[in-house]
Amino acid sequence: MTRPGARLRSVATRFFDPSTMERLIDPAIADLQHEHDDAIRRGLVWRGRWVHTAGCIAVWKVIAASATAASTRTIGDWASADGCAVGRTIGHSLAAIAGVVSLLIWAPLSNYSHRIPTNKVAWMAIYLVPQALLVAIPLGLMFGILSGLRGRVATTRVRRSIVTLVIVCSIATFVLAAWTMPAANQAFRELTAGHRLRRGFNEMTLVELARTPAQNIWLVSATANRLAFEFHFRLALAFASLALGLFAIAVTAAWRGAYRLRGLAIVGSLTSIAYYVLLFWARQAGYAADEQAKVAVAWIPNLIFFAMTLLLFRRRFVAETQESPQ
Amino acid sequence: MATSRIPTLPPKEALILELLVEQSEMYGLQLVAASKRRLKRGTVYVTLGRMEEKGFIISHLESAAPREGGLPRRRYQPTAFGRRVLSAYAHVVRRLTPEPAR
Repeated sequence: MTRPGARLRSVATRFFDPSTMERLIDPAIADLQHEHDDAIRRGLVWRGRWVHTAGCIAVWKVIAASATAASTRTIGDWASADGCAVGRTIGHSLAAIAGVVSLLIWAPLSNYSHRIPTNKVAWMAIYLVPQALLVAIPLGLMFGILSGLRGRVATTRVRRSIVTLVIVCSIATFVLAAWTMPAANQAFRELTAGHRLRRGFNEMTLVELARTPAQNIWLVSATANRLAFEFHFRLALAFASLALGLFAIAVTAAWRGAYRLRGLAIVGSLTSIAYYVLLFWARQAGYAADEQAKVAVAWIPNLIFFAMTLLLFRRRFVAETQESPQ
Repeated sequence: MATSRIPTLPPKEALILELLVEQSEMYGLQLVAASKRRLKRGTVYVTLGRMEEKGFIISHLESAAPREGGLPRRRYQPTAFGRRVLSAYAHVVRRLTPEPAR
């Protein structure tokens, strides 16, 4: 017969190191087994069952606490590795994102807040946040990477961690662009108008944009071309974090983190301006372009930045090859 | 260096130390039973592990052979450092507790 806690122990051994097993989990299981044996020896079957159940719950609690402690330690080690390069990048990105969001919601808030009751101003600010985040996350991430890796040697481990961070941010911006922002936009418009409004292209989710004009009957100006462009433009916007994040990693790799604060500000600002000017141009050009060109135009800003990223990585690779001893 | 910091003694750790100083050696469930429900069986092992890291207690595996392939129990003892910390903690508590009015 399997002893109480034996299965739990075999599961735990797969996840925890021998030291955690020895110090935390094994003592809990050993006590459970001894208490259970004691109850059975005295013929207390129900007491034995209760001990078994209560003991297993206790062991699960110990496992949960150990897992929490282990993951906290891992995250701490991850953030502080290589001169806190990853921790710095995350911190600087969050600060930059908060700064850009504050800037972006301040203007509409000050313009529209007098039109609605005072108790709804907080709601207005909340509705503005998703739209602001869609711009703030790519920009904040780019400035965060440029500033977090400044003066640091970006090792392979650091680069992998930062790429993971970029992917996480891209997923976040995708969710924002696909579902959160359209809903928040509509709520904002209805709050400022004071009555229900028909939704426009910016208030449609990605799924709705992917439908045919016949399925979007409330949208008077919906044509297949326009919907296709809006769909691809929104998708391209969602991938701005990936384009700008990878570009920032390539810049730090090409410059090897040896740039001054002024260089960071210049590169960061020029990149932001260039990217959003290109996006603005793509939006304008997309309306006039024919059916096939619309998709390409929507993706042009991201493609340009992906190409520049590849060029910078190539430059770094060539430099490394020339430096390495023959 | 970790030891240069002033050691902290949360109430649960103080209770465990008090019980261990009284009995000199106990295992996890004995501590839970002796604490009269102030310690829980789900958290006592994590607290004991933390106290061992802090150097307040040491532990060893029971020497008696476990029956039917069961695990040996782990018994805990207070260290001299743990006793000193508990004594200092008790002294501070005594000094800070207001005396009853006469």
